[in-house]
Amino acid sequence: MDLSKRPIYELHQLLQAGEITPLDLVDAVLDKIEAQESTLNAYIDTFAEEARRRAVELEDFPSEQRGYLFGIPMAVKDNIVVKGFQTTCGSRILLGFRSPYNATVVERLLKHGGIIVGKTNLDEFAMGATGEFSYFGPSRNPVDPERVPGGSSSGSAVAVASGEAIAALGSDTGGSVRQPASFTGIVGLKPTYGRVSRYGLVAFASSLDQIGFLTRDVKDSAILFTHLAGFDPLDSTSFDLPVPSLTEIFQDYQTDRPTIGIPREYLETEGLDSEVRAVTESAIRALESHGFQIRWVSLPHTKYAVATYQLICTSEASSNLARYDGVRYGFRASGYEDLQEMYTLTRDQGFGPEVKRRILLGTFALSAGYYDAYYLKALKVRRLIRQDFDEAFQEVDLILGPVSPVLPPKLGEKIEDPLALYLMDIYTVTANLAGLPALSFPAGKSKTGLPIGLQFMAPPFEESRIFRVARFFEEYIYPAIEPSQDLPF
Amino acid sequence: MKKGKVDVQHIAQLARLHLTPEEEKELQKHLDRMLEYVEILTEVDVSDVEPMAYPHEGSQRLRSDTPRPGINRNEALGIAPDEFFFLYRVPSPLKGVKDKS
Repeated sequence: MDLSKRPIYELHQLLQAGEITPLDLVDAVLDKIEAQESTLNAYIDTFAEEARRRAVELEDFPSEQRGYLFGIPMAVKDNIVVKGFQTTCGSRILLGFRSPYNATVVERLLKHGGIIVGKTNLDEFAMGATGEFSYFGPSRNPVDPERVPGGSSSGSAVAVASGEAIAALGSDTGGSVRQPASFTGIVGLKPTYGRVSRYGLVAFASSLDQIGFLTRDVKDSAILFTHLAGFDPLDSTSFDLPVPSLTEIFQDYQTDRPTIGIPREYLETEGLDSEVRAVTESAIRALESHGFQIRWVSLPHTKYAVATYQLICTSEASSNLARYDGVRYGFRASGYEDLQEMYTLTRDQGFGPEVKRRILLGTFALSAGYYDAYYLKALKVRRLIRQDFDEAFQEVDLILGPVSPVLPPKLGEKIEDPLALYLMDIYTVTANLAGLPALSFPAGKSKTGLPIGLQFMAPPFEESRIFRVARFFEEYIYPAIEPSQDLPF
Repeated sequence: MKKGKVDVQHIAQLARLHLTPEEEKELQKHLDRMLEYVEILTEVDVSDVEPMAYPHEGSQRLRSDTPRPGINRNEALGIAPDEFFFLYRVPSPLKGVKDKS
């Protein structure tokens, strides 16, 4: 019985019945890590000894508090801090930085009896769509190791898809949870902006960043959501709204038939791969045949989303990344003669090429004489993008569309063309710009067996709507489209 | 929007980045291309549209101003690249003034 590929709720039952122990689970995951990491490179750091020790200590965990996360080995993206362990953000500039505190999501995960097995690889400071912009080298897609797993939560997606973790935390600023989930055939949730505390998430673009979850299936996604979401006084953008229980979320999911909108513009996008289009269309037909109302909707500002996103995310990044100066933590260059030179040498040697590109574009967009024309203009178009969604949600309960316009590229295929990489974000950045929840789920495969995900989006704080339909799709529609196949790993 | 080539050296200076000649060339090309791409936004009429800095405006609230445990000084200084007698040590801000330590 390969425990490493089973969903949380099944493992929970086995744990409750006493058929397995948390240590069995940790060992199953560590075996996979040992066997596969030289190829996959999902982790920057693994904590084998600590995880085993924690699994043994959990024997004393009060039985009445043993919920779904008890004894479950999980991975944490290396831009979320875990006390006492290194957090690098995939960057040289944070080498040696050991966090003196836990992120709120980490605190909650540990409180529920979860086990952290390691910190996962990512594009440097979460800036990238392929996982190739990491100081620690690229992660590889377990479905086809010649291909990228997507990014920026590359390692988290790879770890879950390959059994190197049962579930993982990621972050999604423009699609960084949903797109790698789609490329590796798993489920990725970006909750509503403000739903999950970001205390302890290293900031990239503060008005867009949201911690999300990478899981084997929809129910596991809802499990992480119900345990880790909710108000946190340590994050001023966190919302004080009740988080629904699993029972509330999945009530009547088999009979619930909400209206689903398909944005016309999404299927008219130039560069949409024919196989991604075919999977989208077959999902629409399947949902319709199960009694879901399908309606066309219009999101007319879609074609401006990537430009808007690039100006806003780089502006915020240039400000957030100003703190890395070699004074208080992380890497400091040598060979400087004065303070200014120490700053510039540290930043020049510490940041990789993509981070520099974004810092420079953002610094330019915020600089005197250009602020109104670029940053402020982008903020205004952002409102129009949000209004498109508000109007669409007057007509429909959910929106369905592709996650990525393309199949996972081969390693090195796109890295030389940054704009082409940015355009891969066309369907995902809108949920971040508008602050909406969105979930990516497996919906089909290409002729060559590459996973293709779709995403449901909902109005703010309506994650439950998404979970219900996505679970229905997973249980009743997907098995008919794609008979279960094991990954090569 | 203003046209024209970006002065990449000036922007790099604002961002406290020192660029090698190769980096300067590559980044100049990238910035010019990006600014050409974002020109697409000039098509959008935003008169009477308010900027939207955060997804849910007016929602941020401050927590009560009560003391809570934080990171202590030793922990904070313990992760610094160079610490000296409970202080962060940095080189002289003035060019040509030698570091006495």
